[in-house]
Amino acid sequence: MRVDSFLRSAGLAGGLALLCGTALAQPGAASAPAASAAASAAEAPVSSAAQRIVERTRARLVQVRTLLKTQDSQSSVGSGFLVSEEGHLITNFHVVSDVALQPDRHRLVYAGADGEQGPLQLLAVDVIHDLALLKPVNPKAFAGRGALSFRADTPARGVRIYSLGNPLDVGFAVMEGSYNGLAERGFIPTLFFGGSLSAGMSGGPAVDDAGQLVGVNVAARRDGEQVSFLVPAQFAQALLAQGRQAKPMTTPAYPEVTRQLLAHQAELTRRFIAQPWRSAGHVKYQIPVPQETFLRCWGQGSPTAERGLQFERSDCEMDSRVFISGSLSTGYLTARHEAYDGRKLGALRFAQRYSASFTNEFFGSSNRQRTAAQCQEDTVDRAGLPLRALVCLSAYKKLPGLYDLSVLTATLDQSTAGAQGRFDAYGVSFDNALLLARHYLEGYAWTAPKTVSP
Amino acid sequence: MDRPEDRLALIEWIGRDQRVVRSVDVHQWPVTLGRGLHNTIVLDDPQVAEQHARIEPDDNGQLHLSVGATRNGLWVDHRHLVTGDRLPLSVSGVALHVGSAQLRVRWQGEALAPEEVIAPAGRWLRLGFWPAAGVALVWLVMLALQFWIGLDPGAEVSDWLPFALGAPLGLMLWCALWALGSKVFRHHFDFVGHLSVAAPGLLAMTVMEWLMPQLAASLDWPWIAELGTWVQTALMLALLWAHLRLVLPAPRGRALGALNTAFVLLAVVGSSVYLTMQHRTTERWSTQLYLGTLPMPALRFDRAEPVDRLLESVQTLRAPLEARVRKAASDEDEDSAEE
Repeated sequence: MRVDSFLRSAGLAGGLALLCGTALAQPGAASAPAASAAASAAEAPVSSAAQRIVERTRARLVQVRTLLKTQDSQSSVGSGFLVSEEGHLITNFHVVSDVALQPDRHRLVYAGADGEQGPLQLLAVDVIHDLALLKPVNPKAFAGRGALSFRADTPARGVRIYSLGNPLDVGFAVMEGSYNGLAERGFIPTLFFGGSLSAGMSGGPAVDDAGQLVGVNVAARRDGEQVSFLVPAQFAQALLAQGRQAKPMTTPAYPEVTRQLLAHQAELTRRFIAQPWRSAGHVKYQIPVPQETFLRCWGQGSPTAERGLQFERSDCEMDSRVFISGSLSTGYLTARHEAYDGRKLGALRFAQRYSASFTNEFFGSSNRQRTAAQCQEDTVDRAGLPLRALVCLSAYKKLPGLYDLSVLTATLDQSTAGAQGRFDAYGVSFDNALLLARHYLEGYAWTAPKTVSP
Repeated sequence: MDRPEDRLALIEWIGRDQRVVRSVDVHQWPVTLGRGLHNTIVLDDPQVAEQHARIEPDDNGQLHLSVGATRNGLWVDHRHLVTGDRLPLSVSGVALHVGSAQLRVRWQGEALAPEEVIAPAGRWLRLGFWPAAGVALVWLVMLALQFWIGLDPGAEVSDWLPFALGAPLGLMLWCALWALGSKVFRHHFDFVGHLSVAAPGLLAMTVMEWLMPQLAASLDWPWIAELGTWVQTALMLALLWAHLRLVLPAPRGRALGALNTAFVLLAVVGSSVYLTMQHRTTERWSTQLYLGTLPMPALRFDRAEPVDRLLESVQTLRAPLEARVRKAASDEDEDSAEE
């Protein structure tokens, strides 16, 4: 399949930037956005409500630092806030993922607004919604500071909300913005916050006028302005209820992460397979294109003046992905296809380009996270339509029972035209991989009975 | 080399290509070798002593070599002699290694080997100029077809330049460079010989490169495409081997055996290293993950199978993948235990 970087950079890239500052960020690069963030904060007059909120919340806000076990340099920083009188803190999973996955190498400390510090322990994680529940080792560390309360109802669209945190390790700050309801086409419910969020604010609270928790800062789009995202407060509340009495996690959280991902992929597969495919609008073939309920599709065609191979393509991806570690995000689906028209080329030339496109595909090689892809291939019969099909699977090494699935297809009935497709499912069980592969392959057929076709 | 009727013996200088560079008649014994001007054979070499060696017959007419005062000594048929050694020279044609000079001593009464037929190196590889040029032309036509397929319709004449200049010039340069090698080692700029090697070799590689994947796609036998990569490798090695046969000075007997062994070793070691490196990242021993070539509808001879059948074969991936995950987990445990 032709790899086209233009569409990716125009449409799908930019992507979500998680807001957890890391030691790897270059000082020079980090200082530029910090300066601009400070400038924009100065321009916008902070309302008196914001002032009130800062006064009330300041003591309930901490910076969450991940340090290497053996030294004091921080490997990542984020924010966190108190949600119980006993000192329970909520932050993002991605702020504490190093500690959750490699507890023998990392440790957690908090730093309060007044400079007080102390060690933290991890009680529970919700990797799907990117949340973690923490508690200070010293049970009296946060005594008398109170806690943020959860807002029970959803605010009206457009109301002011205030996001708090410690952007870029510069200092505690409040960012004003608007509440815009759920982000569209998300499989995992995420709130769209019309305000600025910067790295380091991850895990900080976003509260309404009354200081009640609306959501937890989690990510921002870097290719837009003030397009930021929050985890809805209800998931933080659920994690607190579930993990309140939990013992601190001292072993790597992989079994728990695996359990949560297995539940997530079961739900994702069930809902995805329940949807019918959309039509790609091709004259001859039914090509499976996913509904845009939780995937987003971008289309592109070759310029009409081109004298070579003509094509139309669509790329569909899920915005919702599950962060596991800096090198692994999973729990999502992608689908794409290309419809080729080689009438201007003739059969020989078309065959060469059609094969080259089918060959030009990458399936993962072995690394720390996954095994190398293993494949099976065959020419399958789709109600009379001959289809070359390749099914590849690779297994997650540390999340046993989870696999990445890739299905590659090419129609074989025409000598100067055809369609190729690729479907990928990241982090699904073996059985669901088979179900999804079948679902995708069965999405191909003739648009009309074969007798009408040549 | 006058007075051949008085010639008692002959001393020959052997060049690096095993040819006789120069020879000196011996009319009387003893013959002395050394750097000093009073010697019969003067070897102007700083690693040679003033009086390095001496050859003379004893009372029975048996030739003997005695070594003079030298730090380096000398070698007689690979045997090292030092100062004071005295060795009978039994067979005519004995090889002396003195300093950097390679000498051969022949004397009257030697038994001559029968005359050999003139056999140019790698005789059976030779096609002659016109047949070789014909094969080269067929190869160029195939390449032109490939190039034409790669171009979009309505290509400018200038789009053909890379092919029109590159392919014939490339072939000529390739043959010329090998011929230069022949010139250095065999004193013969053997362009036609190398063309007779390169043209069929390249033609075979080009045909196989196209044929094997097409055959694999038409029959849906991916192993043919996999075999194709190994056939290509074997053809490449055979091509290099044949060129070397024409370059190296008369490889026969042990030398030919060494050349063949070197190539077998190169093939075995090279492919093992390649496969092992590849296995580290891909965890498979085949060079191709899947058959990328798609058959043209008119050339498709396999039967389309139900989707179920493909998914059944996917089921078989489960056990090996699970085994890899278990192995990775145990490797991880070992690593952390070592820490």
